Amino acid sequence: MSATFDKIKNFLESPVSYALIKNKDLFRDNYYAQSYSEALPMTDHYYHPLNPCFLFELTGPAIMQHSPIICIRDGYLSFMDFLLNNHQSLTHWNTLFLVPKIYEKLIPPHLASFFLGYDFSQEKTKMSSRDKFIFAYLTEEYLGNNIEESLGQLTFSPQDKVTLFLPQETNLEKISYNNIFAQEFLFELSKKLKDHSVRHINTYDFLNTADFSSYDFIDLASDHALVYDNFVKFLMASRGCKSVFGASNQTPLLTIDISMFHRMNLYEIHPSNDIFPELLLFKKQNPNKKLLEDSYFLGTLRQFMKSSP
Amino acid sequence: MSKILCLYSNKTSSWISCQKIVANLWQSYTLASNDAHQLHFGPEQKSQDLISLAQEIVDLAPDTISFIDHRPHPYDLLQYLIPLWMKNHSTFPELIFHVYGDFTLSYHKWSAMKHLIKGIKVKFCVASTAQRALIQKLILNDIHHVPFAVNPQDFFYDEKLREKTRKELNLSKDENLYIFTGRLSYQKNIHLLVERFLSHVESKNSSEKLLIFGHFDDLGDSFSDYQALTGHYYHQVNDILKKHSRRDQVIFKGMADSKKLNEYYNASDFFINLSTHNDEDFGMSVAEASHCGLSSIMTSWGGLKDFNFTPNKYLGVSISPRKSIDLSLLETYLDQSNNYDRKKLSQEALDKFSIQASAERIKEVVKTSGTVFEDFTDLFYRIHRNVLYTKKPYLNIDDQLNSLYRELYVSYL
Repeated sequence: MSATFDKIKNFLESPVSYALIKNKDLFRDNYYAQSYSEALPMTDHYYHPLNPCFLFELTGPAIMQHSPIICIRDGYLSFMDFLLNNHQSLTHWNTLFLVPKIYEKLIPPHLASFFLGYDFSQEKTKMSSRDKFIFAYLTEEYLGNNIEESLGQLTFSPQDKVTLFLPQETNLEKISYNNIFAQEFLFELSKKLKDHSVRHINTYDFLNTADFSSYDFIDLASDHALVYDNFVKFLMASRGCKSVFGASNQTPLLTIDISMFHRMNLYEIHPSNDIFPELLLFKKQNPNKKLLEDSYFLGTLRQFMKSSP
Repeated sequence: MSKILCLYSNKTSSWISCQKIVANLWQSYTLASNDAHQLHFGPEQKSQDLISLAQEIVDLAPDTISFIDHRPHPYDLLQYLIPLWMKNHSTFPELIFHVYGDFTLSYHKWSAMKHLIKGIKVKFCVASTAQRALIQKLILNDIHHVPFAVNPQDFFYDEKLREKTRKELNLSKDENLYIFTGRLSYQKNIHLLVERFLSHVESKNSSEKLLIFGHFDDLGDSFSDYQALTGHYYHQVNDILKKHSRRDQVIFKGMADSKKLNEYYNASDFFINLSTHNDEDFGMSVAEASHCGLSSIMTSWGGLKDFNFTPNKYLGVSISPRKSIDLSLLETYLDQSNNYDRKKLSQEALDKFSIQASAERIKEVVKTSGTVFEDFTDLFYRIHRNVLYTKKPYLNIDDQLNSLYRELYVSYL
C-alpha cells in the first residue's frame, strides 16, 4: 500500500498533474459534448489534482498511458460496466483508479491493487438554515421510481424558504417517459411545498451564484447509480455551503483539499466477490448485450447496492 | 426638477460589487431628484414583457431615462421603447448610461445601438478618470464622471470598533494586519499577492497576517487567453501556500456581509489590491475600505488610480509585451507604519465616494444638456472587427498583447 501512496504523492508533487489539465483537447473537450450533456450540470467538469473524469472520457489506452492516476466520477452503473469490460486490461495500463469508497464491494480481490477508495467531507455542521436548497435531476434513474419515498426525506418548518434547482431532460422532438415522470414528481413536490416560499433557479443562475453559505443543501437522489462526484455538490461546497458532505467517519489514509471548504479522503478498499463473478458470467453468456441497456444487469446491480451494507 | 426614470435589473447581479453599486446609485438618484422613479427589466424577459414595460415607460413620460445596471444591456429594452415612444413624440427623453467595466466586452450590442440612439441626446457616465479616458477613445460624445457610491451607513471609520476587533484578533498596536476583499481570481492576481506576502513575512520572520475575503473563481483572463477549469485557481494558490512555512499567516475567510467587512476594514492596517483586470473601472472594495479610513497598497491601474489619498501607495503596471506589475516597492510598502490619520482618510473618501457625493455629481449631469449621439469612434470599429473575426482580438500572432490593446488600455496606466 505504501507504493500506492508514494505514487499519489509523486503525482501530486509532479508537474505532470498540471500537464494533464493543459491537455484539455486530448483529454476532454472533443468527447464531452457528445455524451452526458443532458445530465448537465451534474457532470460538468472541474479541476482537482487527481484528474476527476468520467469513464466515457477515457477513449483509449493513450489516455491511460498519459494518466498514472484517474479519479472516477461515474455512478456505479457505468463503473461496473467499465470494470466488466476492462478488467483484463487493468494490468496493462498501470493506472491507479480512485473510485468512490462505496464501490469497493463491486471490485473483486484480484483487482484491488488497481483501486483506491475516496469520498468527500466537510466539517460537520448542523442543518440549521431556513433557506433550503433542493437539487434533483428529474429522471427516474436519478430519483428512483418511488416518488413518495424520495420526497419522504423532506421535512420543513413553516418558515423555511425553498430554492429548487431541478434540471431535466429537454428534447423538443419527443415526449419521453422521463418528461411524464418529471411532471408527476413536480406535482407531488408542489403539494409538499404549498405553504412555503419557493424560488426556482436555472443552471445559469446556479452557476452565477457567488455564495451558498446561507443554504442547507438537499439532494433528492436515491443513490449513486448515475453520478457520484456531482458538479452541483462541488460548486455548492466550494462556494460556502456547509451541508453538502458530512464529516468523515473513517480515518483516511490521505486527505486532499478540493476547495476552501471541502476535501477528498482516500482509503484502502476492501474488495469482495459478492457480485462481480455473477455479472461477469452474465456478460460472457450474453456477449452482444449492452449492459447499460439491459434490465437484468441494471436491476441486479441496483438491488445489490441497495441491499448490501 | 425633471422626472428621472432609473432602470435596472430585476435580478440581482452575481457580481457582489455590482449589487452594491446599483443599490447605491439608485439611492444617489433619490437624493439627487425628488422625482426619481424606478422600473426593472431582466435578462430573461420575453419580448412581450419588454413591450409592456416600454408602454409603461411611455405612460410615465420621464424627461430622463437612466440605465444604472450593467445587465441586461440597454439595447434589449430600447429596441422596443424608442419606436413606441416616437410614434407619438418628436423627441425622445435624454438617455443616461452608467457604463461599467464590461463595456469593452459588449461591442456587438453597443454597435447595434448605434442606429437606435442616433439623434437622441445621450450622456455616458463612467466611474473613474481612467475609465473616462478609455471610453472617450470609443465614443464621440462627452463622458461624465460619476464615481460609484459607497453607503456610509455600511462602511465607516470607528476607532472603538477597530480596538474591539483587533483585541478579538489578538493584535498588538504596532502589528500590521493586511486585508484583501473581492473575487479570488486570476484577474485579481491573488497568486501573486499570496506569494509576495508570504515571501515578505518569511524574510522578516514576522508574524503579520493577511486576511482574504471572497470566493475563488476561474474566469481566467479572456483577453490574454488564459482559461482554466472550474476549481483550478484554488489549487494554483494552494500550491503556492504549500511551498511556504508561514502559510497559516494567510487566512481565507470566505464571503462576509457588509457588517463583518466593516469590522475587519476598521481592524486592518493596509488593504492590498494587485489587480490588473481589464474591467477594473473603479475599485469598489478599495472605496469601501477607504470609508473605514483604511489605507491601500495597489496597482496603478484603471479606476484604482482615483484613490490617491495621502497614505495610499501605488505599484507601477506595464502592458507591453504582457501585463506585469513592478513589485520592487512592495516590500517597502508592506513595512510601513500603521500610524496614519485614518479619520482624515475616511473623510476624504466620504467627500469623493459617498452616496451624497455621487448624488451631487448626478445633479450636475442631469442639469447639463446632453449631446446628440452621432457615432462610435474609428477605434471602436477596429476593435469590433477584431472581436468579430478573431478568437483572440487583443493578441498578436505570437500571443503578446497587440497594438489595439495598447491603444485602448494605455488609459488604464
